Amino acid sequence: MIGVILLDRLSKSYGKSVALERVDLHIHPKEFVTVVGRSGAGKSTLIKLLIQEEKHSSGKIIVGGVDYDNLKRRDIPKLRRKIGVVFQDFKLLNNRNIYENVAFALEITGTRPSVIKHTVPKVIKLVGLEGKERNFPHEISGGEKQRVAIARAIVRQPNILIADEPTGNLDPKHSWDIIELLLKINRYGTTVILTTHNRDIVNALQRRVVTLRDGKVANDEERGSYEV
Amino acid sequence: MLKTLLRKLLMLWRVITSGTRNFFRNAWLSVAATTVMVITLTIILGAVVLNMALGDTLDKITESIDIAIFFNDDAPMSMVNQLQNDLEELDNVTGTEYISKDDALRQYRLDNIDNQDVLDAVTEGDNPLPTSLEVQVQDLQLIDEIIMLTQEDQYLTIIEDTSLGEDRRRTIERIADTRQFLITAGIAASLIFASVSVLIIFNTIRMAIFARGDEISIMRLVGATNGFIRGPFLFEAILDGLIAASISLGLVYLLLFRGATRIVNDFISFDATIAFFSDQWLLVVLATLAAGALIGVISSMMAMVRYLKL
Repeated sequence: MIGVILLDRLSKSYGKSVALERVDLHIHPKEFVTVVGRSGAGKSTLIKLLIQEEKHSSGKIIVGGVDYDNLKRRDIPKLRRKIGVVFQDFKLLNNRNIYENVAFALEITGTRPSVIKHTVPKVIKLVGLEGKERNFPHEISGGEKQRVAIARAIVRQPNILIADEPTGNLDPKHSWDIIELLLKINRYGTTVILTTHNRDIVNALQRRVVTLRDGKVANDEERGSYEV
Repeated sequence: MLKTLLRKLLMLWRVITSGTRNFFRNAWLSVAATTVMVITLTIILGAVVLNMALGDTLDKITESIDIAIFFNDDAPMSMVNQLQNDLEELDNVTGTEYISKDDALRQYRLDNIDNQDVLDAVTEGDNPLPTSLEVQVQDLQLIDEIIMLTQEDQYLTIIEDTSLGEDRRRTIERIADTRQFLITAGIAASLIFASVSVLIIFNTIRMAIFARGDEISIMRLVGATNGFIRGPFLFEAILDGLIAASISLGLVYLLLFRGATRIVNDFISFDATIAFFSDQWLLVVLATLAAGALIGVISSMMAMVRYLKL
Protein backbone atom coordinates (compact mmCIF):
# COMPACT_ATOMS: atom_id res chain seq x y z
CA MET A 1 0.00 0.00 0.00
CA ILE A 2 1.47 3.31 -0.97
CA GLY A 3 0.54 6.44 0.87
CA VAL A 4 -1.90 7.95 -1.57
CA ILE A 5 -5.29 9.18 -0.43
CA LEU A 6 -8.17 10.07 -2.73
CA LEU A 7 -11.39 11.59 -1.50
CA ASP A 8 -14.07 12.15 -4.09
CA ARG A 9 -17.21 14.11 -3.21
CA LEU A 10 -17.00 12.63 0.27
CA SER A 11 -19.96 13.41 2.52
CA LYS A 12 -20.91 12.41 6.01
CA SER A 13 -24.02 13.40 7.88
CA TYR A 14 -25.44 12.48 11.25
CA GLY A 15 -29.17 12.64 10.78
CA LYS A 16 -29.87 16.11 9.48
CA SER A 17 -26.55 17.58 10.56
CA VAL A 18 -23.90 17.53 7.84
CA ALA A 19 -20.34 17.00 9.07
CA LEU A 20 -18.61 16.75 5.70
CA GLU A 21 -20.01 17.83 2.37
CA ARG A 22 -18.62 16.87 -1.04
CA VAL A 23 -14.99 16.93 0.02
CA ASP A 24 -12.54 16.39 -2.85
CA LEU A 25 -8.96 15.81 -1.80
CA HIS A 26 -5.94 14.15 -3.35
CA ILE A 27 -3.02 13.52 -1.04
CA HIS A 28 0.14 12.26 -2.70
CA PRO A 29 2.55 9.70 -1.32
CA LYS A 30 5.15 11.14 1.08
CA GLU A 31 3.24 14.40 1.36
CA PHE A 32 2.94 16.34 4.64
CA VAL A 33 -0.55 17.84 4.79
CA THR A 34 -1.96 19.94 7.58
CA VAL A 35 -5.73 20.05 7.95
CA VAL A 36 -7.02 23.08 9.82
CA GLY A 37 -10.42 24.38 10.75
CA ARG A 38 -12.50 25.55 13.69
CA SER A 39 -14.03 23.04 16.05
CA GLY A 40 -16.86 21.31 14.23
CA ALA A 41 -15.39 22.07 10.80
CA GLY A 42 -15.12 18.35 10.06
CA LYS A 43 -11.48 17.51 10.87
CA SER A 44 -12.23 14.74 13.33
CA THR A 45 -14.96 13.32 11.12
CA LEU A 46 -12.49 13.19 8.25
CA ILE A 47 -10.06 11.18 10.36
CA LYS A 48 -12.76 8.87 11.67
CA LEU A 49 -13.73 8.11 8.09
CA LEU A 50 -10.11 7.53 7.05
CA ILE A 51 -9.61 4.90 9.76
CA GLN A 52 -13.15 3.59 9.24
CA GLU A 53 -14.24 4.26 12.76
CA GLU A 54 -17.31 5.51 10.97
CA LYS A 55 -18.84 4.87 7.57
CA HIS A 56 -19.18 7.68 5.07
CA SER A 57 -22.63 8.65 3.80
CA SER A 58 -21.70 9.15 0.16
CA GLY A 59 -18.79 9.75 -2.15
CA LYS A 60 -15.59 7.77 -2.34
CA ILE A 61 -12.55 7.12 -0.18
CA ILE A 62 -9.66 5.33 -1.80
CA VAL A 63 -6.53 4.82 0.30
CA GLY A 64 -3.53 3.06 -1.21
CA GLY A 65 -5.74 1.66 -3.92
CA VAL A 66 -8.30 0.31 -1.46
CA ASP A 67 -11.81 1.53 -2.17
CA TYR A 68 -13.59 1.78 1.17
CA ASP A 69 -16.90 0.93 -0.48
CA ASN A 70 -15.54 -2.56 -1.07
CA LEU A 71 -14.13 -2.90 2.41
CA LYS A 72 -15.65 -5.69 4.47
CA ARG A 73 -15.97 -5.44 8.25
CA ARG A 74 -13.32 -8.06 8.77
CA ASP A 75 -10.86 -6.09 6.62
CA ILE A 76 -11.02 -3.00 8.83
CA PRO A 77 -8.45 -4.20 11.41
CA LYS A 78 -6.02 -4.89 8.55
CA LEU A 79 -6.62 -1.40 7.17
CA ARG A 80 -5.96 0.15 10.58
CA ARG A 81 -2.67 -1.68 10.82
CA LYS A 82 -1.56 0.09 7.66
CA ILE A 83 -2.47 3.56 8.88
CA GLY A 84 -0.72 4.84 11.98
CA VAL A 85 -2.84 7.14 14.13
CA VAL A 86 -1.86 9.50 16.95
CA PHE A 87 -4.44 11.21 19.15
CA GLN A 88 -4.51 14.30 21.29
CA ASP A 89 -5.13 12.22 24.42
CA PHE A 90 -2.35 9.74 23.55
CA LYS A 91 -4.51 6.65 24.19
CA LEU A 92 -1.78 4.68 25.92
CA LEU A 93 -2.36 1.54 27.97
CA ASN A 94 -1.67 2.75 31.48
CA ASN A 95 -0.94 -0.68 32.90
CA ARG A 96 1.83 -1.33 30.41
CA ASN A 97 5.21 0.28 30.30
CA ILE A 98 6.59 2.22 27.32
CA TYR A 99 8.18 -0.83 25.73
CA GLU A 100 5.00 -2.88 26.14
CA ASN A 101 2.82 -0.11 24.74
CA VAL A 102 4.87 0.01 21.57
CA ALA A 103 5.25 -3.77 21.36
CA PHE A 104 1.48 -4.12 21.75
CA ALA A 105 0.88 -2.81 18.21
CA LEU A 106 3.02 -5.68 16.92
CA GLU A 107 1.69 -8.33 19.26
CA ILE A 108 -1.86 -7.96 18.00
CA THR A 109 -0.75 -8.72 14.47
CA GLY A 110 0.98 -11.94 15.41
CA THR A 111 4.50 -10.60 14.96
CA ARG A 112 7.14 -13.03 16.21
CA PRO A 113 8.72 -12.21 19.60
CA SER A 114 12.19 -12.05 18.03
CA VAL A 115 11.02 -9.41 15.54
CA ILE A 116 9.34 -7.43 18.34
CA LYS A 117 12.56 -7.52 20.38
CA HIS A 118 14.51 -6.27 17.41
CA THR A 119 12.11 -3.56 16.21
CA VAL A 120 10.71 -1.93 19.35
CA PRO A 121 14.02 -0.60 20.79
CA LYS A 122 14.87 0.93 17.40
CA VAL A 123 11.57 2.81 17.22
CA ILE A 124 11.83 3.92 20.85
CA LYS A 125 15.28 5.30 20.00
CA LEU A 126 13.89 7.03 16.90
CA VAL A 127 11.33 8.94 18.98
CA GLY A 128 13.99 9.83 21.53
CA LEU A 129 12.80 7.77 24.49
CA GLU A 130 15.82 5.59 24.91
CA GLY A 131 16.30 4.64 28.56
CA LYS A 132 12.63 5.13 29.43
CA GLU A 133 11.44 1.76 28.15
CA ARG A 134 10.51 0.48 31.60
CA ASN A 135 8.65 3.64 32.66
CA PHE A 136 4.87 3.59 32.83
CA PRO A 137 2.76 6.31 31.17
CA HIS A 138 2.04 8.05 34.50
CA GLU A 139 5.77 8.43 35.06
CA ILE A 140 6.50 10.48 31.94
CA SER A 141 5.57 13.93 30.61
CA GLY A 142 2.81 14.72 28.09
CA GLY A 143 5.35 15.25 25.33
CA GLU A 144 6.93 11.91 26.08
CA LYS A 145 3.54 10.22 26.11
CA GLN A 146 2.89 11.59 22.65
CA ARG A 147 6.26 10.22 21.53
CA VAL A 148 5.22 6.80 22.79
CA ALA A 149 1.97 7.12 20.85
CA ILE A 150 3.94 8.05 17.72
CA ALA A 151 6.32 5.13 18.28
CA ARG A 152 3.34 2.80 18.54
CA ALA A 153 1.83 4.30 15.38
CA ILE A 154 4.97 3.89 13.30
CA VAL A 155 6.34 0.62 14.66
CA ARG A 156 4.50 -1.28 11.93
CA GLN A 157 6.00 1.06 9.35
CA PRO A 158 2.72 2.37 7.95
CA ASN A 159 2.71 4.35 4.72
CA ILE A 160 0.34 6.87 6.24
CA LEU A 161 0.50 8.52 9.65
CA ILE A 162 -2.48 10.50 10.86
CA ALA A 163 -1.86 12.85 13.77
CA ASP A 164 -5.11 14.21 15.20
CA GLU A 165 -4.29 17.32 17.24
CA PRO A 166 -1.14 15.68 18.60
CA THR A 167 0.02 18.90 20.25
CA GLY A 168 -3.34 19.86 21.71
CA ASN A 169 -2.33 18.91 25.25
CA LEU A 170 1.29 20.00 25.07
CA ASP A 171 3.24 23.17 25.87
CA PRO A 172 4.96 24.99 22.95
CA LYS A 173 8.35 23.36 23.46
CA HIS A 174 6.98 19.83 23.53
CA SER A 175 4.66 20.69 20.66
CA TRP A 176 7.60 21.60 18.48
CA ASP A 177 9.42 18.43 19.49
CA ILE A 178 6.46 16.42 18.28
CA ILE A 179 6.18 18.35 15.00
CA GLU A 180 9.87 17.83 14.34
CA LEU A 181 9.41 14.15 14.98
CA LEU A 182 6.54 14.03 12.51
CA LEU A 183 8.69 15.84 9.93
CA LYS A 184 11.45 13.33 10.49
CA ILE A 185 9.02 10.44 9.95
CA ASN A 186 7.78 12.18 6.80
CA ARG A 187 11.35 12.47 5.52
CA TYR A 188 11.63 8.68 5.84
CA GLY A 189 8.81 8.44 3.29
CA THR A 190 5.62 8.29 5.32
CA THR A 191 2.63 10.38 4.24
CA VAL A 192 1.66 12.54 7.22
CA ILE A 193 -1.74 14.12 7.80
CA LEU A 194 -1.74 16.53 10.71
CA THR A 195 -4.77 18.25 12.13
CA THR A 196 -4.09 21.16 14.44
CA HIS A 197 -5.40 24.40 15.91
CA ASN A 198 -1.91 25.75 16.42
CA ARG A 199 -1.45 28.79 14.18
CA ASP A 200 2.32 29.11 14.84
CA ILE A 201 2.97 25.54 13.87
CA VAL A 202 0.96 25.74 10.64
CA ASN A 203 2.57 28.98 9.59
CA ALA A 204 6.07 27.79 10.39
CA LEU A 205 5.69 24.46 8.64
CA GLN A 206 5.32 25.98 5.17
CA ARG A 207 3.64 22.82 3.93
CA ARG A 208 0.33 22.09 2.20
CA VAL A 209 -2.61 23.33 4.24
CA VAL A 210 -6.21 22.19 3.71
CA THR A 211 -8.73 24.40 5.45
CA LEU A 212 -12.12 22.95 6.31
CA ARG A 213 -15.08 25.20 6.95
CA ASP A 214 -18.57 23.90 7.72
CA GLY A 215 -17.67 20.48 6.40
CA LYS A 216 -16.33 21.74 3.08
CA VAL A 217 -12.84 22.34 1.76
CA ALA A 218 -12.59 26.12 1.95
CA ASN A 219 -8.95 26.35 0.96
CA ASP A 220 -6.20 24.04 -0.26
CA GLU A 221 -2.76 25.60 -0.69
CA GLU A 222 0.65 24.08 -1.43
CA ARG A 223 2.42 26.33 1.07
CA GLY A 224 -0.45 27.52 3.11
CA SER A 225 -0.96 29.34 6.34
CA TYR A 226 -3.43 29.24 9.18
CA GLU A 227 -6.58 31.01 8.08
CA VAL A 228 -9.74 29.58 9.48
CA MET B 1 0.95 -22.60 5.32
CA LEU B 2 3.17 -23.53 8.27
CA LYS B 3 3.95 -19.87 8.79
CA THR B 4 0.24 -19.01 8.97
CA LEU B 5 -0.36 -21.85 11.41
CA LEU B 6 2.52 -20.73 13.62
CA ARG B 7 1.22 -17.17 13.53
CA LYS B 8 -2.25 -18.34 14.55
CA LEU B 9 -0.78 -20.41 17.39
CA LEU B 10 1.20 -17.38 18.53
CA MET B 11 -1.97 -15.27 18.50
CA LEU B 12 -3.84 -17.97 20.42
CA TRP B 13 -1.03 -18.06 22.97
CA ARG B 14 -1.25 -14.27 23.36
CA VAL B 15 -5.03 -14.48 23.79
CA ILE B 16 -4.60 -17.18 26.45
CA THR B 17 -1.91 -15.30 28.37
CA SER B 18 -3.94 -12.11 28.20
CA GLY B 19 -7.08 -13.94 29.41
CA THR B 20 -5.14 -15.55 32.25
CA ARG B 21 -3.71 -12.17 33.25
CA ASN B 22 -7.21 -10.71 33.30
CA PHE B 23 -8.44 -13.64 35.39
CA PHE B 24 -5.93 -12.81 38.11
CA ARG B 25 -6.41 -9.06 37.72
CA ASN B 26 -10.13 -9.54 38.52
CA ALA B 27 -9.26 -11.88 41.37
CA TRP B 28 -12.34 -11.33 43.52
CA LEU B 29 -14.78 -11.44 40.66
CA SER B 30 -13.09 -14.59 39.42
CA VAL B 31 -13.40 -16.18 42.88
CA ALA B 32 -17.12 -15.37 42.99
CA ALA B 33 -17.71 -16.70 39.48
CA THR B 34 -15.71 -19.84 40.14
CA THR B 35 -17.39 -20.52 43.49
CA VAL B 36 -20.91 -20.37 42.14
CA MET B 37 -19.88 -22.54 39.23
CA VAL B 38 -18.36 -25.09 41.67
CA ILE B 39 -21.74 -25.27 43.42
CA THR B 40 -23.55 -25.68 40.12
CA LEU B 41 -21.31 -28.41 38.78
CA THR B 42 -21.23 -30.23 42.12
CA ILE B 43 -25.02 -30.26 42.21
CA ILE B 44 -25.15 -31.59 38.65
CA LEU B 45 -22.55 -34.27 39.37
CA GLY B 46 -24.17 -35.10 42.72
CA ALA B 47 -27.54 -35.52 41.03
CA VAL B 48 -25.96 -37.86 38.48
CA VAL B 49 -24.29 -39.90 41.25
CA LEU B 50 -27.46 -40.22 43.33
CA ASN B 51 -29.57 -41.05 40.31
CA MET B 52 -27.16 -43.78 39.25
CA ALA B 53 -26.91 -45.17 42.78
CA LEU B 54 -30.67 -45.26 43.27
CA GLY B 55 -31.16 -46.79 39.84
CA ASP B 56 -28.67 -49.48 40.72
CA THR B 57 -30.36 -50.07 44.06
CA LEU B 58 -33.73 -50.44 42.34
CA ASP B 59 -32.33 -52.90 39.84
CA LYS B 60 -30.82 -55.00 42.59
CA ILE B 61 -34.04 -55.11 44.58
CA THR B 62 -36.06 -55.86 41.46
CA GLU B 63 -33.78 -58.74 40.57
CA SER B 64 -34.23 -60.25 44.00
CA ILE B 65 -38.01 -60.37 43.76
CA ASP B 66 -39.76 -63.46 42.44
CA ILE B 67 -43.19 -63.29 40.98
CA ALA B 68 -44.83 -66.65 41.13
CA ILE B 69 -48.33 -68.06 40.63
CA PHE B 70 -49.11 -71.25 42.55
CA PHE B 71 -51.76 -73.70 41.34
CA ASN B 72 -54.12 -76.12 43.01
CA ASP B 73 -53.04 -79.74 42.72
CA ASP B 74 -56.10 -80.44 40.60
CA ALA B 75 -55.56 -77.55 38.19
CA PRO B 76 -55.80 -78.88 34.62
CA MET B 77 -52.55 -78.62 32.68
CA SER B 78 -54.41 -77.06 29.75
CA MET B 79 -55.52 -74.12 31.92
CA VAL B 80 -52.01 -73.65 33.29
CA ASN B 81 -50.68 -73.61 29.74
CA GLN B 82 -53.38 -71.15 28.73
CA LEU B 83 -52.44 -68.79 31.57
CA GLN B 84 -48.76 -69.15 30.65
CA ASN B 85 -49.58 -68.14 27.05
CA ASP B 86 -51.72 -65.24 28.22
CA LEU B 87 -48.91 -64.04 30.49
CA GLU B 88 -46.32 -64.22 27.75
CA GLU B 89 -48.44 -62.01 25.55
CA LEU B 90 -48.16 -59.17 28.09
CA ASP B 91 -45.56 -56.53 27.14
CA ASN B 92 -44.13 -56.32 30.61
CA VAL B 93 -43.51 -60.08 30.83
CA THR B 94 -40.12 -61.10 29.53
CA GLY B 95 -40.43 -64.82 30.29
CA THR B 96 -42.20 -67.53 32.25
CA GLU B 97 -41.07 -70.83 33.64
CA TYR B 98 -43.25 -73.78 34.53
CA ILE B 99 -42.24 -75.44 37.78
CA SER B 100 -43.78 -78.84 38.36
CA LYS B 101 -44.33 -80.30 41.83
CA ASP B 102 -41.19 -82.43 41.35
CA ASP B 103 -39.12 -79.47 40.23
CA ALA B 104 -40.30 -77.55 43.25
CA LEU B 105 -39.35 -80.40 45.55
CA ARG B 106 -35.90 -80.67 43.99
CA GLN B 107 -35.33 -76.97 44.44
CA TYR B 108 -36.67 -77.12 47.99
CA ARG B 109 -34.25 -79.88 48.85
CA LEU B 110 -31.36 -77.99 47.34
CA ASP B 111 -32.31 -74.87 49.26
CA ASN B 112 -32.50 -76.79 52.55
CA ILE B 113 -29.72 -79.27 52.03
CA ASP B 114 -28.23 -78.55 55.45
CA ASN B 115 -31.49 -78.87 57.36
CA GLN B 116 -32.31 -82.52 57.80
CA ASP B 117 -35.47 -81.86 59.83
CA VAL B 118 -37.00 -79.84 57.05
CA LEU B 119 -35.93 -82.42 54.48
CA ASP B 120 -37.50 -85.20 56.49
CA ALA B 121 -40.81 -83.32 56.74
CA VAL B 122 -41.26 -83.30 52.98
CA THR B 123 -41.12 -86.56 51.07
CA GLU B 124 -41.89 -87.46 47.50
CA GLY B 125 -44.91 -89.46 48.59
CA ASP B 126 -46.29 -86.49 50.45
CA ASN B 127 -45.17 -83.50 48.38
CA PRO B 128 -47.02 -80.41 49.64
CA LEU B 129 -45.31 -78.08 47.19
CA PRO B 130 -47.61 -76.75 44.50
CA THR B 131 -47.11 -76.51 40.76
CA SER B 132 -46.19 -72.93 39.85
CA LEU B 133 -45.34 -70.47 37.14
CA GLU B 134 -42.40 -68.11 37.71
CA VAL B 135 -42.77 -64.86 35.86
CA GLN B 136 -39.96 -62.49 34.86
CA VAL B 137 -41.02 -58.90 34.32
CA GLN B 138 -39.39 -55.79 32.90
CA ASP B 139 -40.85 -53.38 35.38
CA LEU B 140 -42.14 -54.32 38.77
CA GLN B 141 -44.19 -51.14 38.88
CA LEU B 142 -46.32 -52.46 36.05
CA ILE B 143 -47.51 -55.78 37.37
CA ASP B 144 -51.11 -54.69 37.76
CA GLU B 145 -52.03 -56.38 34.50
CA ILE B 146 -50.60 -59.65 35.81
CA ILE B 147 -52.71 -59.27 38.93
CA MET B 148 -55.79 -58.57 36.81
CA LEU B 149 -55.12 -61.62 34.66
CA THR B 150 -54.83 -63.92 37.68
CA GLN B 151 -58.11 -62.57 38.96
CA GLU B 152 -60.09 -63.53 35.88
CA ASP B 153 -62.90 -66.00 36.65
CA GLN B 154 -61.45 -68.80 34.57
CA TYR B 155 -58.19 -68.74 36.51
CA LEU B 156 -59.50 -68.03 40.00
CA THR B 157 -60.45 -71.68 40.43
CA ILE B 158 -57.05 -73.08 39.53
CA ILE B 159 -54.87 -70.54 41.38
CA GLU B 160 -54.13 -71.28 44.99
CA ASP B 161 -51.94 -68.32 45.73
CA THR B 162 -49.76 -65.66 44.18
CA SER B 163 -46.49 -64.13 45.28
CA LEU B 164 -46.25 -60.71 43.80
CA GLY B 165 -43.77 -59.23 46.26
CA GLU B 166 -46.17 -56.66 47.71
CA ASP B 167 -43.83 -55.70 50.57
CA ARG B 168 -40.91 -55.26 48.26
CA ARG B 169 -43.11 -53.38 45.87
CA ARG B 170 -43.78 -50.78 48.48
CA THR B 171 -40.04 -50.40 49.11
CA ILE B 172 -39.42 -50.16 45.40
CA GLU B 173 -42.13 -47.58 45.03
CA ARG B 174 -40.56 -45.53 47.79
CA ILE B 175 -37.12 -45.69 46.20
CA ALA B 176 -38.56 -44.97 42.77
CA ASP B 177 -40.44 -41.99 44.20
CA THR B 178 -37.28 -40.74 45.91
CA ARG B 179 -35.36 -41.23 42.70
CA GLN B 180 -37.97 -39.37 40.71
CA PHE B 181 -37.95 -36.58 43.27
CA LEU B 182 -34.17 -36.39 43.20
CA ILE B 183 -34.12 -36.29 39.42
CA THR B 184 -36.65 -33.46 39.39
CA ALA B 185 -34.96 -31.64 42.27
CA GLY B 186 -31.54 -32.24 40.69
CA ILE B 187 -32.63 -30.86 37.34
CA ALA B 188 -34.33 -27.88 38.99
CA ALA B 189 -31.35 -27.13 41.25
CA SER B 190 -28.92 -27.60 38.34
CA LEU B 191 -30.93 -25.22 36.18
CA ILE B 192 -31.24 -22.63 38.94
CA PHE B 193 -27.55 -22.71 39.79
CA ALA B 194 -26.51 -22.86 36.15
CA SER B 195 -28.57 -19.70 35.57
CA VAL B 196 -26.99 -18.07 38.63
CA SER B 197 -23.55 -19.06 37.33
CA VAL B 198 -24.31 -17.65 33.91
CA LEU B 199 -25.56 -14.42 35.51
CA ILE B 200 -22.51 -14.03 37.73
CA ILE B 201 -20.02 -14.79 34.98
CA PHE B 202 -22.01 -12.54 32.66
CA ASN B 203 -21.56 -9.75 35.20
CA THR B 204 -17.89 -10.55 35.73
CA ILE B 205 -17.26 -10.23 32.03
CA ARG B 206 -19.50 -7.17 31.77
CA MET B 207 -17.53 -5.42 34.50
CA ALA B 208 -14.29 -6.49 32.88
CA ILE B 209 -15.50 -5.04 29.58
CA PHE B 210 -16.39 -1.73 31.28
CA ALA B 211 -13.15 -1.65 33.24
CA ARG B 212 -11.13 -2.21 30.10
CA GLY B 213 -13.13 0.10 27.85
CA ASP B 214 -10.10 2.25 27.05
CA GLU B 215 -7.94 -0.74 26.38
CA ILE B 216 -10.55 -2.18 24.04
CA SER B 217 -10.88 1.05 22.07
CA ILE B 218 -7.09 1.33 21.81
CA MET B 219 -6.86 -2.27 20.63
CA ARG B 220 -9.43 -1.50 17.93
CA LEU B 221 -7.62 1.65 16.85
CA VAL B 222 -4.27 -0.06 16.43
CA GLY B 223 -5.89 -2.76 14.34
CA ALA B 224 -6.60 -5.69 16.64
CA THR B 225 -9.08 -8.11 15.11
CA ASN B 226 -12.39 -8.70 16.85
CA GLY B 227 -11.30 -12.21 17.71
CA PHE B 228 -8.14 -10.92 19.36
CA ILE B 229 -10.17 -8.45 21.43
CA ARG B 230 -12.91 -10.93 22.39
CA GLY B 231 -10.59 -13.89 22.87
CA PRO B 232 -9.20 -12.95 26.31
CA PHE B 233 -12.72 -12.34 27.71
CA LEU B 234 -13.85 -15.68 26.37
CA PHE B 235 -10.79 -17.45 27.74
CA GLU B 236 -11.21 -15.78 31.13
CA ALA B 237 -14.73 -17.22 31.39
CA ILE B 238 -13.58 -20.62 30.15
CA LEU B 239 -10.87 -20.54 32.81
CA ASP B 240 -13.55 -19.85 35.46
CA GLY B 241 -15.39 -22.92 34.18
CA LEU B 242 -12.36 -25.20 33.98
CA ILE B 243 -11.13 -24.34 37.48
CA ALA B 244 -14.65 -24.79 38.89
CA ALA B 245 -15.02 -28.13 37.08
CA SER B 246 -11.72 -29.38 38.54
CA ILE B 247 -12.76 -28.42 42.07
CA SER B 248 -16.21 -30.03 41.62
CA LEU B 249 -14.69 -33.22 40.30
CA GLY B 250 -12.33 -33.34 43.27
CA LEU B 251 -15.21 -32.84 45.69
CA VAL B 252 -17.52 -35.39 44.10
CA TYR B 253 -14.84 -38.06 43.74
CA LEU B 254 -13.77 -37.49 47.33
CA LEU B 255 -17.35 -37.76 48.59
CA LEU B 256 -18.12 -40.77 46.42
CA PHE B 257 -15.01 -42.78 47.22
CA ARG B 258 -14.48 -41.76 50.84
CA GLY B 259 -17.83 -40.63 52.16
CA ALA B 260 -20.84 -42.09 50.41
CA THR B 261 -19.99 -45.74 50.85
CA ARG B 262 -19.48 -45.38 54.60
CA ILE B 263 -22.70 -43.57 55.23
CA VAL B 264 -25.38 -45.26 53.19
CA ASN B 265 -24.03 -48.32 51.46
CA ASP B 266 -26.32 -50.53 53.53
CA PHE B 267 -29.39 -49.00 52.00
CA ILE B 268 -28.24 -47.52 48.72
CA SER B 269 -25.92 -49.45 46.47
CA PHE B 270 -23.02 -47.27 45.26
CA ASP B 271 -21.05 -50.14 43.75
CA ALA B 272 -22.10 -49.63 40.14
CA THR B 273 -21.72 -45.83 40.42
CA ILE B 274 -18.24 -46.16 41.89
CA ALA B 275 -17.37 -48.66 39.17
CA PHE B 276 -18.64 -46.25 36.52
CA PHE B 277 -16.77 -43.27 37.98
CA SER B 278 -13.60 -45.39 38.14
CA ASP B 279 -13.81 -47.06 34.73
CA GLN B 280 -15.10 -44.03 32.85
CA TRP B 281 -13.16 -41.39 34.78
CA LEU B 282 -11.88 -39.79 31.59
CA LEU B 283 -15.40 -39.41 30.24
CA VAL B 284 -16.62 -37.97 33.55
CA VAL B 285 -13.68 -35.54 33.77
CA LEU B 286 -14.01 -34.41 30.15
CA ALA B 287 -17.79 -34.04 30.37
CA THR B 288 -17.53 -31.95 33.55
CA LEU B 289 -14.75 -29.77 32.13
CA ALA B 290 -16.81 -29.33 28.97
CA ALA B 291 -19.88 -28.37 31.03
CA GLY B 292 -17.83 -25.80 32.97
CA ALA B 293 -16.31 -24.38 29.80
CA LEU B 294 -19.72 -24.29 28.13
CA ILE B 295 -21.27 -22.29 30.98
CA GLY B 296 -18.30 -19.90 30.67
CA VAL B 297 -18.64 -19.59 26.91
CA ILE B 298 -22.40 -18.99 27.04
CA SER B 299 -22.15 -16.31 29.73
CA SER B 300 -19.21 -14.45 28.21
CA MET B 301 -20.75 -14.56 24.74
CA MET B 302 -23.95 -13.08 26.17
CA ALA B 303 -21.97 -10.32 27.88
CA MET B 304 -19.94 -9.58 24.75
CA VAL B 305 -22.91 -9.50 22.41
CA ARG B 306 -24.58 -7.03 24.76
CA TYR B 307 -21.67 -4.86 25.90
CA LEU B 308 -18.71 -5.33 23.58
CA LYS B 309 -19.69 -3.58 20.40
CA LEU B 310 -16.84 -3.77 17.94
